[in-house]
Amino acid sequence: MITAFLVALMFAGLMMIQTSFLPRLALWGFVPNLVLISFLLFHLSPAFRNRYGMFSAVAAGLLLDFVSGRFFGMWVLILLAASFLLEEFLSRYVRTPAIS
Amino acid sequence: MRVSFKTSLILLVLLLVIGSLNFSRVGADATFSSFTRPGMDFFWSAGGRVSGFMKGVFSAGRLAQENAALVQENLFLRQQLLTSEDERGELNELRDAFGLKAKEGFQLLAAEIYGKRTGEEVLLVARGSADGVRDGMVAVTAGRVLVGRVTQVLPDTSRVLMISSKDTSFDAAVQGRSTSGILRGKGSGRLLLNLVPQEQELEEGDIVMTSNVAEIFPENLLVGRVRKVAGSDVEAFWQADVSWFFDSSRIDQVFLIQ
Repeated sequence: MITAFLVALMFAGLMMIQTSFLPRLALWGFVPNLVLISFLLFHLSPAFRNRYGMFSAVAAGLLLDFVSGRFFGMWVLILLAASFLLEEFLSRYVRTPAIS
Repeated sequence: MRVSFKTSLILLVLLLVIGSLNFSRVGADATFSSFTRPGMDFFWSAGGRVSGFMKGVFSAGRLAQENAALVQENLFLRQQLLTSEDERGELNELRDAFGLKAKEGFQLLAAEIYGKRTGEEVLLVARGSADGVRDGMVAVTAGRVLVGRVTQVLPDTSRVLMISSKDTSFDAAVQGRSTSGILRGKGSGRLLLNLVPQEQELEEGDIVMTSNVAEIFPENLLVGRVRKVAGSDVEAFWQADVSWFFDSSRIDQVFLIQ
């Protein structure tokens, strides 16, 4: 529970950094989507995927939905699908002993 | 990840709840921004300080050159100011003689910037409907550089769609020439001046301003400088890359025209 809270807090912090800090340092207008990158990186760990995969998809998706002007729930759906597909792909074809 | 029936049910309910937030989007956005704004204010000003420091470090070698160029430009502008003051005096005399009214200036509302949406050309500003902001208000900088238009108003904050957005296009003119065209956003802070008739003059360094043919934006707001002109004699129109005078990494505040 505490880990889940910390993960959500970290996503919120990254969202604020990508929305308020990085645009001022942007090179050629490019700002990386830190929430999405960290979501994908976390999914390299099988333990994280199994325990917090869907939770992180909903938390990160909600934050991205709030800072985008598009249909609310779009990012949640995308990240849930990504979480499911990553799990299917990584658990079948990829072994990451160092991270797990 | 095996998804059980119970998990699927919880996800379905959650998605329905999230989807239903679209019906009260303004309220949800307002609540979210009231929680996150203090942190975003902090990061925006910290980003400004870091950006200023980095620019100082990387442009140290050019500072002497830039300073000399600015001194020259300052002298030139002082001369122009004197000329324009003389001309304004004459204009006022003529207005008095013909009984004409002077054009009224804009009423401006200052709004602090505190963020920019990732992947979108949208600025978040700290003024909302409680401060008198309305949908469609035009945002400019202190130097009357056009920034964009308010597209979403929340009680305490608003969203400004910048003119560099691909969804924005408007009529523009070139200062000191009878040249006009359509300016549209290309994303990532880039602008393109298009549909400039071949018989009209357009050169690198020309200043682009708004015109009021289509009355999308007030006229004579500064937009940018022509960077590169493309086209050939066989084409019907010129097009040009315009470097925008607005730089969100340096500016903390915009003004909304009331």
